[in-house]
Amino acid sequence: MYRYDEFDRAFLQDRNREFRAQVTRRLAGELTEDEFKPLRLMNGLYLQLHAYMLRIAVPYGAMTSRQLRQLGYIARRWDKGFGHWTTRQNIQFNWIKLIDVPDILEALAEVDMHAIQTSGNCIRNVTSDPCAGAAADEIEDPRIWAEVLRQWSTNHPEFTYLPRKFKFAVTGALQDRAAIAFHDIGIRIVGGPNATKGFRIFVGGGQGRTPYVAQEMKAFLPQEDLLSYLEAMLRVYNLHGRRDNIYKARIKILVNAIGVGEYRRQVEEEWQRIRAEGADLPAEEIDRIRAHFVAPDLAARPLDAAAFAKARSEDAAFDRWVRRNVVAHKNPDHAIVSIAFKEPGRPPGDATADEMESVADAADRYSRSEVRVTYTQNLVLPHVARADLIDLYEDLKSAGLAGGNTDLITDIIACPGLDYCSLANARSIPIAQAITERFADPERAENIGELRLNISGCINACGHHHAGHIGILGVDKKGTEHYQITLGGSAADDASVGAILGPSFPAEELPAAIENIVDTYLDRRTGGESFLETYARVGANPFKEALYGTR
Amino acid sequence: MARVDLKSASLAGTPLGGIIALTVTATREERASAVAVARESGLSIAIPFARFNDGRGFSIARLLRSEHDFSGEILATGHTIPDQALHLLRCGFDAVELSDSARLPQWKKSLKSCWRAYQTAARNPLTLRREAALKKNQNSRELEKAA
Repeated sequence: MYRYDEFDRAFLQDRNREFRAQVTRRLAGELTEDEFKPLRLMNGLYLQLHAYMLRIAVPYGAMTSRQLRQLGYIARRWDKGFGHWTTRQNIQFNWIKLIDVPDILEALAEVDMHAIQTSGNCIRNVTSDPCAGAAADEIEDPRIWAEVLRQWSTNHPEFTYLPRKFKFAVTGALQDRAAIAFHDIGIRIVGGPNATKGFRIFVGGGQGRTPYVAQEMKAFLPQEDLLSYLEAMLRVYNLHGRRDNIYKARIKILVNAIGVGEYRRQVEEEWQRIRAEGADLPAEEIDRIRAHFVAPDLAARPLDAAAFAKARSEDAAFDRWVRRNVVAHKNPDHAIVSIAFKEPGRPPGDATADEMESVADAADRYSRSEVRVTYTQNLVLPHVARADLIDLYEDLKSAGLAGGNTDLITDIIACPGLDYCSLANARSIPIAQAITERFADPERAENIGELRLNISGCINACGHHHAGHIGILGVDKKGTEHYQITLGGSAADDASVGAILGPSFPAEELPAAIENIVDTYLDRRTGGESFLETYARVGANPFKEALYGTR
Repeated sequence: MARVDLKSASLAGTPLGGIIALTVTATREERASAVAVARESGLSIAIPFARFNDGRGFSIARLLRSEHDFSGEILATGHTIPDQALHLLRCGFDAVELSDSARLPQWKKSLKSCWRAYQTAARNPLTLRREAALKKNQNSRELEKAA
């Protein structure tokens, strides 16, 4: 984990003092709401339907148990006792008072956390692989570079007033678990000549009302050139990205308007000009940051295989949890464990203060005090000894967090929707709950297999519906909430944008329609085919017929 | 109209030599010819902000400083807010035209709101993260030597 030193702490204190003064000036009328808005957004503060919402950065989704406990404290003291994991691996609190925000930011600073650039037209919290530093298929820990980017992008003097928000994701593994294809800039760590490492850079991905899968920008960028290259990329965008229409202001629109070839030409030209200016970090500074991410020294912890097998055979729920929520660690005695926040009745990704504390306790006991947030709105314990899995499961069960449904149809991504958000056309949470209810039988859900179902309450696509194997989009149809279904999206290595299936459904008909789609898949699948594989093979027609008849 | 000098955090007079105005959509050729004229006749170059959150002016100033090697005065005109003072200074602006001189005290405060930065820019008046780290390393090495 990156640990702050005096410099980082002093920076954060200056920043918090500045924002406290900005709130005072706003309350005194010295700043207009128009002028205050971007300032508060850059400090994570939104105005929603019922209250202010504060979005707190969990840089690349990684935090310590101490930080998680502090989030629980904030939930209890200044919110209604719960928070909400977001698709940018952050947490947001939905019931905040403006006047309390400076104190909340101070409470965050006590544990080296902040809400900087979780909103606004600037570079947002950099996301990454929740299994970073633990995954068996890792080339290099992506958190090193995500932290380099966090620092570089923090209060950047030139790139704080961009045409629109700007999202980075970094992955260092063979398998993309960070959805890099749906980011303004996606970065993949790759091996280069002579055992060097570098980056494969992608640009122009994103969701929203014009979804695009990112295109390759550069096949190999040496690691030491990262910041100068990004400076060139951002400068070309800052100067030439559209500012007349917020829906056309993201870099994906620029890249598609002039073509990735022309964008690359302009960037390369600018990069060659500025390479020697000194934007890149000296090797010593990269080494300083890298040293924070040395893999923990995990002692050998041999598993009592017979006892473990016995426990699995005696408890079907435990057995399922091991199958669904436990994945390989680079150290064979250890495992990476998902904690699901998706059981029936829970708004996807909501966590109470008690639950945050329970997970913090489990992290201290079993995972080197480390916790990760996933963009699928769950948590991960990255370093669990296999010998501790039975005890961990029991602890999570007592906390009500032992659901074994990772990546199943009930592991739904959903935005807050019309229950909270002023942009939404339709509610997301009750829809997610109704679908979770319908597929609540864990055996049935597991039989359906890996199926990513994502729900957005409006075209802004915060619930990633474009990237759902099944996507659901809330629309307003003559004043009533309707839902459009898309099929075939994916945010993984086979990234694609889902295709609209047909006319939308009212809320009460939606769960049956989803069930119909699932049944059609089960009818059609052969062997161990996943939903996406069957869809790729049979196409949309069988699903259209099942939903709309042969018309 | 009042002007604030960003480097000294004080009110400044009107530029002696007058101003040549650029737009935020100026091409490389337009920037180059503005710089040539400004150099020749000792003019300041003004970059307009139509709205304070139109950030193109920051990049234009950086290009004037690094691509065109302009060392004369760069002035921000139009709508800027005091909270941008350090961004403007670091991107190469020397002065800001104030639409509201009542805000001068706030501009002064904002220029002192922060002492540290994580990245290089056209000007680096703040302590840079990388320098702080290097200094710390040096100190600890010296301490080791002494011990």
